[in-house]
Amino acid sequence: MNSTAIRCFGRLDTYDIVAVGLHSIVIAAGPLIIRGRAGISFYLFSKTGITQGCPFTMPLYGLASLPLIRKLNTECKLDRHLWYADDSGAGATFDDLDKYFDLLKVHGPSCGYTPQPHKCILVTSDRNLSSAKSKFERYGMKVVTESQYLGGFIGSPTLRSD
Amino acid sequence: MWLANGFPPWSSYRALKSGRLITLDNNPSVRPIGIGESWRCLFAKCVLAVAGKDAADECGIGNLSGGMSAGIKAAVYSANEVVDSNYETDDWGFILMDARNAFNELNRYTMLWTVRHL
Repeated sequence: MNSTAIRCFGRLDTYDIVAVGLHSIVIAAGPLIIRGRAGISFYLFSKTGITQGCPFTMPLYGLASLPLIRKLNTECKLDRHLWYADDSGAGATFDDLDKYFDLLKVHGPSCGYTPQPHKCILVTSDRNLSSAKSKFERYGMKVVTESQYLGGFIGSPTLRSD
Repeated sequence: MWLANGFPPWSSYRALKSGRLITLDNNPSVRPIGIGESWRCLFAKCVLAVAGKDAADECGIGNLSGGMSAGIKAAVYSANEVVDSNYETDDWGFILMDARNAFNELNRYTMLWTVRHL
């Protein structure tokens, strides 16, 4: 990144005000207030991860996930590797996807990304369904021929056009 | 400027960072939704006005949530394109990953260090 405000932590220049302020706004644990009945309120302190309600957190999460994404890109042979916030998807042969999943299990937790196999979905064609099940169902993954993805649809091209 | 140029009392950080938490019924669990204070939103928008484009440039196609406009649409179209062209290929699939509480498990210091050193 060239001459960005977020790169300027600890450096005194034009972006000093923004940088130090950003540091404080990210690091400080903010109270989240839940209104109860009869004027009673409950407080929760957001101390890890990103805090809900801050417009800056999404780009910040995107930047923070880049080292993991780049590592996966270099170590796996994927036809397509997509991330939108914490939703990731990859298209490749089963062997490469197996390697991708293993790498994500190894490197992901240190970056705050712990895959949940039972919530992962593998989309493949009917003819590959049995081989996919034999390979991926041992992890607890769902193997299907179509699925929702970020509000869209992934699956058979003919089914999508219908 | 006050936050950046001095050491304000903790109560000021609390006031700036506070937000209302509402709960939505996500049967059978509960979905918490945080709503930040106006000052915090203003502050974040100011930072984005200065640094948002650089953040989007750095994220590029790596993570489409980094500020690229129509990022979700791009992800869906891109996924469909690669699925369409490989759908009949032997032993080929598209995997959709899900992580446990990903937004909350990120370490804040690691996050800032990463952003600083990208």
